[in-house]
Amino acid sequence: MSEKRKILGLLLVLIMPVLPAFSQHDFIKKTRGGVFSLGNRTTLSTFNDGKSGNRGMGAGGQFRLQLSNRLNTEWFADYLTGNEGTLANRVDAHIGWSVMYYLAAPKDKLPLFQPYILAGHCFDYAHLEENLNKQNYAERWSSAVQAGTGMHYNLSQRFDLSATIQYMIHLGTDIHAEQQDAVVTFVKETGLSLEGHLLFNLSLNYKIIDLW
Amino acid sequence: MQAQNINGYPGLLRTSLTIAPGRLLDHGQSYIYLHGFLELFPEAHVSLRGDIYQMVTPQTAGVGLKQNTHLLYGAAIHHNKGISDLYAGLEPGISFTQTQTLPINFLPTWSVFTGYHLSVWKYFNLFAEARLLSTRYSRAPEGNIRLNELLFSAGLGFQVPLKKLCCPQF
Repeated sequence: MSEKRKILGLLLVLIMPVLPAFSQHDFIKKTRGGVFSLGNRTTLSTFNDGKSGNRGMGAGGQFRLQLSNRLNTEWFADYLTGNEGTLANRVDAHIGWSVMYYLAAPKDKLPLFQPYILAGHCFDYAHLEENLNKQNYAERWSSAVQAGTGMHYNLSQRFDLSATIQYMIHLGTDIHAEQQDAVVTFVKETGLSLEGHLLFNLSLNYKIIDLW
Repeated sequence: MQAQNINGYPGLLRTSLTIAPGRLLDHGQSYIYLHGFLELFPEAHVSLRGDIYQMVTPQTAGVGLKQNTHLLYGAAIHHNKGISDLYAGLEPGISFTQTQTLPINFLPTWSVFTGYHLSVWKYFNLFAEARLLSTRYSRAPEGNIRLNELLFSAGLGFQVPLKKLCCPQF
């Protein structure tokens, strides 16, 4: 077998499992329930713990499994880094899910813009650390709930650019940094607090297959 | 309705490996990267894509990057007609960055890019692309180090029309 055919064969073996899903024929079977999408996401976190100067930026991935014509679910993981005041930094990791409800019933063809509301839950890992002293740190796992609104910009019937804005409230232990002169102290607080993150997400998603 | 097959789209698989200069906008320093990408067109005007940039010129002056690798994944939309293809896209990802004095750190990254492909033969194209990449090194003693970068790539690309070769379902 020639070298060219060997290389082509290897490439095809790597991508063959997903090729049938990219058929240009209408991939919707009966309803939009069962549509599975894969996507990436970028995240901007602002107003951390009520402080507008504490911003975080992150990236991650997600998949969606649509349950019906107007109900979709989104399952995501992302990783954010940011500052905590001027002398400390923080890393946040989220893994969670949201339920999305489309405000208008879709017709046979998806509209150019498709607004929705969403709400969900996630697990949140936070690691806060003093910039000048790595030994001075605090970390915790906690649970959080998020809710907000979003919009799909349907670039094609299978490809969308989505923008969401959500507010995330931590449940359980929350940690933040307090600075007095040049001394950094990490404070852990338990209970429900209404201060959290305001999150902006931008994602690109592709509908791979209609599972049922 | 089936999408029109324009010059191998949909079902076109593209790849390339080239040299890409990059300019750190906040520090006025330039670095050289090896840039590789793999791109698949599931539709005529949409591609899914992954990129990797590996820095090959560590420096000791200025911000002093010793290691900088960007792994990016995303998609692009294309205005393609005949042999011409103008495109733009969005790719987040992760960077593995180390300076001469600071340890390696994993940094969330996002980038936007635009470019142009000219198909010169069934299997080859010439391309030029510009990318704005944004990330920052957190956990530095002085706080966050901004590493916003402008990258430029150009060169010869390789493309395979899968629809014609093996996969008529495109």
